[in-house]
Amino acid sequence: MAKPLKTKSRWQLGTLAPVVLILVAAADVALRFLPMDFVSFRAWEAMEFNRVEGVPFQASKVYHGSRCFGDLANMGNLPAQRHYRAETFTSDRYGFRNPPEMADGPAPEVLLMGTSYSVGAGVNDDETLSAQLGRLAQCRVYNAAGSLVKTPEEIRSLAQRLHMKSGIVIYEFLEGHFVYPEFQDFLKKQYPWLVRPPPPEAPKPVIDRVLLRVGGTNLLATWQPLSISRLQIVSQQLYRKLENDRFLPNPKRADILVKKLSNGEEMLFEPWEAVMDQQPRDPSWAAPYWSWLAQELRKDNLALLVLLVPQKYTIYKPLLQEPAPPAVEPTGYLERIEAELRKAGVPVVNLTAPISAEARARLAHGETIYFPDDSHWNAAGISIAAQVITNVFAKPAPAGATPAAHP
Amino acid sequence: MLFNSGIFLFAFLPIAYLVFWQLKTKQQRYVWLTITGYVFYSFWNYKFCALMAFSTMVSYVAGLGFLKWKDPHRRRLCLVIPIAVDLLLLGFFKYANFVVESAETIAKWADSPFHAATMSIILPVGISFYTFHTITYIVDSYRGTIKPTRNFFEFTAYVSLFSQLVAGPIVRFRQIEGDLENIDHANRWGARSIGWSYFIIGMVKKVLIADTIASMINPGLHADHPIPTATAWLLTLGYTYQLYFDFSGYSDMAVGLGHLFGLRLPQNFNSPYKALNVGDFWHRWHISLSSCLRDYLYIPMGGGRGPLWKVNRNLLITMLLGGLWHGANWTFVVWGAYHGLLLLVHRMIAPSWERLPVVVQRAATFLLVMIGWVFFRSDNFGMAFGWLHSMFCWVPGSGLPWEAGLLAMLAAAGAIAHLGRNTFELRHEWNPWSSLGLAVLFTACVMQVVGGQWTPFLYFQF
Repeated sequence: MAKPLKTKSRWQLGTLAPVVLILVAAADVALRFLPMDFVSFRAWEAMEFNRVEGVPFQASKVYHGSRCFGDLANMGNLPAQRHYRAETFTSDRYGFRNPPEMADGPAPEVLLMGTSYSVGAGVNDDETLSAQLGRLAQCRVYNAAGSLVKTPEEIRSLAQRLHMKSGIVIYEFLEGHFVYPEFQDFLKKQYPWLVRPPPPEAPKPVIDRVLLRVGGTNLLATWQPLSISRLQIVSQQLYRKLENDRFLPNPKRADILVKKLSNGEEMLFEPWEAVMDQQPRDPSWAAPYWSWLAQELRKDNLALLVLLVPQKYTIYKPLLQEPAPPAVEPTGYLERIEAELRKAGVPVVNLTAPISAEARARLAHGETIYFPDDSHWNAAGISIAAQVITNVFAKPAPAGATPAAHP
Repeated sequence: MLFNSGIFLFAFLPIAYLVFWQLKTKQQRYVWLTITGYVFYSFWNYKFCALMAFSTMVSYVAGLGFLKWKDPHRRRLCLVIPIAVDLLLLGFFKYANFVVESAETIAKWADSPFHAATMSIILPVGISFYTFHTITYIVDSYRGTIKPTRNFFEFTAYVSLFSQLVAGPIVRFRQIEGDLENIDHANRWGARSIGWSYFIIGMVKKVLIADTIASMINPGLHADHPIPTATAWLLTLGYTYQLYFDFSGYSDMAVGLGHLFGLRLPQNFNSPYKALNVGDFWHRWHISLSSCLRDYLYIPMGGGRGPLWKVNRNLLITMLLGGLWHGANWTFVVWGAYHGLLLLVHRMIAPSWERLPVVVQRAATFLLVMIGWVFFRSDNFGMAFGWLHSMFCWVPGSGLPWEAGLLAMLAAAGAIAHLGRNTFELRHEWNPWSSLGLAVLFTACVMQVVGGQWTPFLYFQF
């Protein structure tokens, strides 16, 4: 009699249910020690994870993914729109996207600041703007991109760390900057904010405060990688497979615009990009700000070159099958910023015209210069930027010199 | 905190359960249940714990008053004061803005310059439920149906019992008094499997059935164009099942949790879509609410006694207030009125109705209830009438892209709701394979919870 009872009790729900909870909890804890690379769909998230404050990526890390795809295909949960590609992403010991030797070798001549466009989201290490520019212009370009706003102090400190006594700072400005709250806050607070200490940080979560109190930064640094549940990510990825608009509706579908190009190919965009030129945009802030920054950098023998990068939709809007409503302002936003900067004597390169021309020419051959499934430009698009900048300076300008204003 | 959330499953429940069974005396367990109830409640807004504590205190003191005083005048005071306090609190938090907005709308119709600003009031979660707990306690004490408890923590444990605190079932003190009295002798191991069985079935109903249907019908309901007729019927059917599986799922989970702590909570759903008429439906749907409305509102008003107009009046008032209880919106009032009218009509045609074949009675009742849910689900009359228009006037158009999936879900949900046994009809004695099957379904639910795919229960808003 004893045996069947024992078997029965083992399979009772009163035993099985707690076991399920314990197993799931154990799996969750165990998987938290797994690197993010295993659950990332591309390099960016894996590299960004576990970074030190103030730098964009985890230091001295190499990511290699053979089936990466674009952020827009992921955001919209559109597997059919994915364009798989291999991606290698390497960071140096300072947490920027450079070959490891870049941080330790001779001082760079060019410092590249800017957004994920300059970082090279979606492309390989040798296809980034810094890599292509370095090859074309025969100079050492340090890729310090990865944040929207950098104060002169931050730039100065980085230049000193790299033993850079003089050189050029290429500062990329992306057309869609305004959608980012970080940039809007910065504008609201006006430029003097940049030289004052940064605003107080938001209070840390309770668990962070406890760990800091108990064990200082070491414990906190140990905790942070563990605070993200890989099981949650995996579970979400599995659930999203069902949200395919066949079995379950895809709620993410509305987050992305799918448009047809004139050659019939589909390309993804973020909806805000499509309405960007439907409202007036004021470029008057640009000249005072960049002039001030140029002046600040000049104190450290650094010359500023502003690089204006158009948004994907701006480039492909005229190449869409379905005509889009005309912009409310006759002149493009970047063109007006460019004019303001020229008037103020700030060196500037506007990539809109060369990239637009190249996009049209390549589309005739079925090629694109932005990834169809991603918000960023691809290696071909970057090569145009590198070529245009190289034309501005055949080789790096000497210390304190100002680069030519025109390509 | 929701039953279907990670914090509840992985932290709150294990701690609450393990500590509870380590405690030996009644008093310790009452105190622990009270603490867990308040912790559970504070996850929404800890400030409202004070409101619940105040309501509890008033009712407890009134209960002591019933024990102390025998003269009718004082006893009446002990009845009226706490009920007035409870209803004032409920009225203020739940209906103040509704009254102001309604008055303003009427003034606008009458072309009057009346204007009153609405207040920024947060509705405390579960106030409709714990108010009913305290009111039923007071009324039953007054009537002598129960003997009020002198044990403060027994009473606080009853009011703040986390398993039924925010969305019922509305448990009367007399229904749980015996188990509370014997809580120190509760059988931990005996009820564990039954408790988990209820809990898992409830969770499957909520997470795998109701939430899946919800994700399929919500985009259709929020479409900014007229809904095609076939889709409108499909959405109505979808919501009909979603609401049932959501709320009965919650109730099952609450009953299961009760078992885990040695408390037997009453049945709240008895296969309502098998009802033969609307009266029968109200004996099967949200039983704890409908029986409260019957015992504390309908019968005191005279119930089914007296002239026909009085009976009809009592019925209509009860159903209107029942509708209003669900939410401060005229759509709920209309839903209550609709059911009141259906009940009146059924009373008139009962003999002929009963001569119909059972299948026809069931189908017709289901259809009538289903149409009523349109008002229940709609945010306003515009949505309700647009939806009804799509159902009853032909609107062409293509269906939802995931209609095949929705039909499959509805077929499964319909089979369970119309043909299956409900959780109180099950014996909850599973063979190993069935246990394993339920454990697999539970794992799927837990994974969905871990993935952050959980949604609040529909009845939380009431």
